[in-house]
Amino acid sequence: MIIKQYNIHELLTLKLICNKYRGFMAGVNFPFSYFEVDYCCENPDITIALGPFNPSNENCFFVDHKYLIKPNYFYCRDYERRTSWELEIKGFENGITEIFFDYKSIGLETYLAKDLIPQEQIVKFLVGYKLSLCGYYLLHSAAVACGNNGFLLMGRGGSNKTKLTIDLVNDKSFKCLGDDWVILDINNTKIFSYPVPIQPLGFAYNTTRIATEKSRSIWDMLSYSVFSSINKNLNNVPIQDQANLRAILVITKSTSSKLKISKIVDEKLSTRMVVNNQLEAMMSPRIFGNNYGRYYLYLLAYAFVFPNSKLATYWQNMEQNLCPLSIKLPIFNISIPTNYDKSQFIKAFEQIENEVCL
Amino acid sequence: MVTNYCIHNLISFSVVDTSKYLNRKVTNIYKQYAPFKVDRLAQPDFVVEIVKKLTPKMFGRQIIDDIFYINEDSIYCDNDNHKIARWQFEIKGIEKSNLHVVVSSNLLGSKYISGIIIDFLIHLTLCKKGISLIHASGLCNRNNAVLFSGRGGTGKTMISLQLIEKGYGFLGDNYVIVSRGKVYGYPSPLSLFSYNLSPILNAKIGLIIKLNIILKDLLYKITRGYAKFFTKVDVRELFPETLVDQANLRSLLIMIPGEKLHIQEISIDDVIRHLVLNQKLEFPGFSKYLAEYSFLFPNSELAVHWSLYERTLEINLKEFGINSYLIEIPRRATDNMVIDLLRFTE
Repeated sequence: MIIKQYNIHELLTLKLICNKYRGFMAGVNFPFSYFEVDYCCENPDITIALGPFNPSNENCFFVDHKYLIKPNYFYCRDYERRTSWELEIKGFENGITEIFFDYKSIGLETYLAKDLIPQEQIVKFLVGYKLSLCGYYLLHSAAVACGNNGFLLMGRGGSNKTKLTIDLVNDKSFKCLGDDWVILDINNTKIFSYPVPIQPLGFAYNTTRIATEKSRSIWDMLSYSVFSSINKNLNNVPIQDQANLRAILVITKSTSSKLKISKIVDEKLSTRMVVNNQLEAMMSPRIFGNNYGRYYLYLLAYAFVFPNSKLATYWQNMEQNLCPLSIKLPIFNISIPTNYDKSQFIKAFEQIENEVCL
Repeated sequence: MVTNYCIHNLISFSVVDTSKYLNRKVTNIYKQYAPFKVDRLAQPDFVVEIVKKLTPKMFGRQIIDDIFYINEDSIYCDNDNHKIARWQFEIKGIEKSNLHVVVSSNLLGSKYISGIIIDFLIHLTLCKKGISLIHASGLCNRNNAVLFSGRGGTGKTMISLQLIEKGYGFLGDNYVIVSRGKVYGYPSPLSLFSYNLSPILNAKIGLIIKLNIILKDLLYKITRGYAKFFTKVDVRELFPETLVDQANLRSLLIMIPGEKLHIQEISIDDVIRHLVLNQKLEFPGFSKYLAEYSFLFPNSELAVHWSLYERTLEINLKEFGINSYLIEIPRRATDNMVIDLLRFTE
């Protein structure tokens, strides 16, 4: 039995209780490890207990043959591919949130990163929800900083966020705040780091699909996996904890052959940010290809029973609260061609940097 | 092979099928929309083309999540899957006019085309016309309709069957169409699973269907919940004399299974909120496609689709004097409870 304590920028504290881990990828297994602290946080905001538990699911509403719901409480048994799990969440509407998760799998995931699934599938989103209650939003986006000037690189999966981050860090000596998720303080337009260890397999699998025109041999996957874990090793990337947000870059990828930048007057930036997060909740975890994520459905099921609860209005509130952002900040769209050229991108980025920072 | 469908002259579509023989046998499209089949159509609202292989033009599209190729008014999904069912599709004209869909799938994937793609397109096209597709079962007593809306496991089908037994007319079991306080029947086949087998149903259905349900339940148990297939039964064969085309909406009941029977009157706004969430839960697959499109085109109509749906519901349900209730219904409903519920339909 091990206990891990995390403190996310003094905004949120987490406590993780699980069995000793004997897998291959310890670094990947604990995605919050950047925030690990060795002191004991009193009354952590979220407590996660992995392993068998006794649910207290009496007097519940029953939705879709599997979700058991009562105020401030969610329970279900669910499965995805070769994995099945039992989940109980208590106290998310107010006070201390407790998550219980028991998980069985006959898949490769068990041997690689056993505890990753619950943390990716559930805990990450609850962290985002808890942060939103105090005016911070966890956004699916990469972020880099030069001194105190921070840039958000917002894009969907496969838009090369990670690659762009690494290129900016290597070639322009930028610091990284996160390559997948980042915390945004909307009141002060600041960003806080949220670095997570890589998920080499999912990344490799998807990269392989694109790079090798869909010939997905095991050899391709393995070679890309090795290649990408070297390339994407965030332990070697310099990390900065906070920066003032100066510009937002919406990264898209297109089948045309040229890199294009354009300034967008986009009053619907908040919509983009919300659907970007929603899609992550619909698709994670992506260890092997695109699975249907469950958090989105769990949240909808809870909302169906309690449509006026805080959790049910989460996306709506998020969209409203993010709205002022597009007035405060310049927004650019960078459309990246499939044959990505580093020098082109760096040039385009410098152009934006000059426009914003001068 | 071209098949035309028209639903109450509100919406029409054609299915053009050139897929493999086995795919045509496995798909439930023809069963699902059989009650709406017509001989010819002048101008269908949309066309669904099912092909063996899809070869779309890729140039100038935005790639998103590695599998979606999107440009304005069009979505191409290279490979989506549910368990081992796979499908790819291209939708053109999703925002403007001439909605045209080309789909190809593997054998199991052809089972999902109607549920994931066509049902949503019916919902979307109706929504554009200001008409609402609602996930609910509908019954009527003379000209007064009552809708029972709830998620799976609520016992909607069982309640429908009990009310039919008591002489009620049948409008729909899974969906109904509502326009300006009027309910239009949507007699799609019942999706039966072992938990639906009540004494009333047992008396109605034939031996072959019963066997079918039992075998599918066995398959479900053997695969420990992995393979869940429903048995489709045409309602026109089960109770032809009870089918009703349209009726005036009198009561709308949102039902959530819980511990004890508890009935509470709620405002029509609250009902609408539940209905929107119910519909979202009904279309998780297409919600994803909508979100992908909205990320690239946040100013499009599709990006605000669910609020548009909410608005059409307001137009179609408000100010028609509809009674609305939230009902907590015990997980094992008995005959008496249905009688209690009946009081709200009078």
